[in-house]
Amino acid sequence: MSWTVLVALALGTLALKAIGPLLFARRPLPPSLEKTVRALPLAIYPALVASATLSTSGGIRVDGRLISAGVVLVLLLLVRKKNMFGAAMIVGAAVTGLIRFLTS
Amino acid sequence: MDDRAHVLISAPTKAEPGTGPHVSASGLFLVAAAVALFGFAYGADSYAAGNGVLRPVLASALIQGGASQIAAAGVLKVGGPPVVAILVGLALNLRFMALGLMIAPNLPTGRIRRLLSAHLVSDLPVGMAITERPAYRARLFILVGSLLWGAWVGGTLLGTVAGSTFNVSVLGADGAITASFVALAVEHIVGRRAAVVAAVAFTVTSVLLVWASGVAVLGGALAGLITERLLRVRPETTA
Repeated sequence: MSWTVLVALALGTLALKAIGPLLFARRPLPPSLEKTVRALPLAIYPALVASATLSTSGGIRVDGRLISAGVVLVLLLLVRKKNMFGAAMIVGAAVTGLIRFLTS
Repeated sequence: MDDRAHVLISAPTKAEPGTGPHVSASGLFLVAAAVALFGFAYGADSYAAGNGVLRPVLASALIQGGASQIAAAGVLKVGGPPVVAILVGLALNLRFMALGLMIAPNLPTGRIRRLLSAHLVSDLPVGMAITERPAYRARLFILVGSLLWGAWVGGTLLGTVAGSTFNVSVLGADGAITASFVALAVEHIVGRRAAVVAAVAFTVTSVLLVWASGVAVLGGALAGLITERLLRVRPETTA
């Protein structure tokens, strides 16, 4: 990564991260925006799951990643209690590693 | 406002008023370890591509957005022009604008401290903080944000130094990160309508990955938002 790309990405990314917090430093979010912001996590995290499980350079590929995420999803839906974060990650890593070991 | 948010947060997670945050110390350790392994892989790749030690480490410290760093490096690797690498990276990071808005009410007020803490904005710190009751959000965000920043930068440094001595993908660290995204998504899937919204966001992102991967997450999230508006999921869901 060249210095130009590094600096441009660093400044651009910080601007994206900071624009909301700086715009609404002294006043609350307007109600219309707050509605949307409150709906955001429900929209963003499933999208990130799709990207993390399917994306490959230049398209999508269905492999062990999707199975692993599916196992974690079923686990979390069956056991709806708090503090499942660590367990979910261990299961995710174990299933991914196992499938990779079996198919390599 | 605190009150309503409290009711909404505690309903799906069954957190009792007065109990601590429901992310445990061991959970935090696992997230940090997985992020560090990701950083290690990025550092090793970047060093192997001839970037030395300083540049990958600075990139991780200052950009602090793994997917964008990897994608920009990928563009440059196949001989793409720098401007395309920058645009691809920034397109992937557009979601940070939304994440910044989500955590904005919980950031410190001084301008410098606000800017510094905004730098910690990322998928996991924001996602973990907003599933907590409001009283815990500010502290948990700074805690998780600093921890994962350190893990990402430290992992990158180790990767550049220890290089390609071992292949971290066998450890399934990517599976752990994906699992944490699943866990964050599930926190917000309360009721059938919310499940529909999540399914739409997932499906649209998958389709977009085929021919517009740079904006796939953004497009999928947007489709989810529109669906949410149409179905009027609230007040069942939380933020």
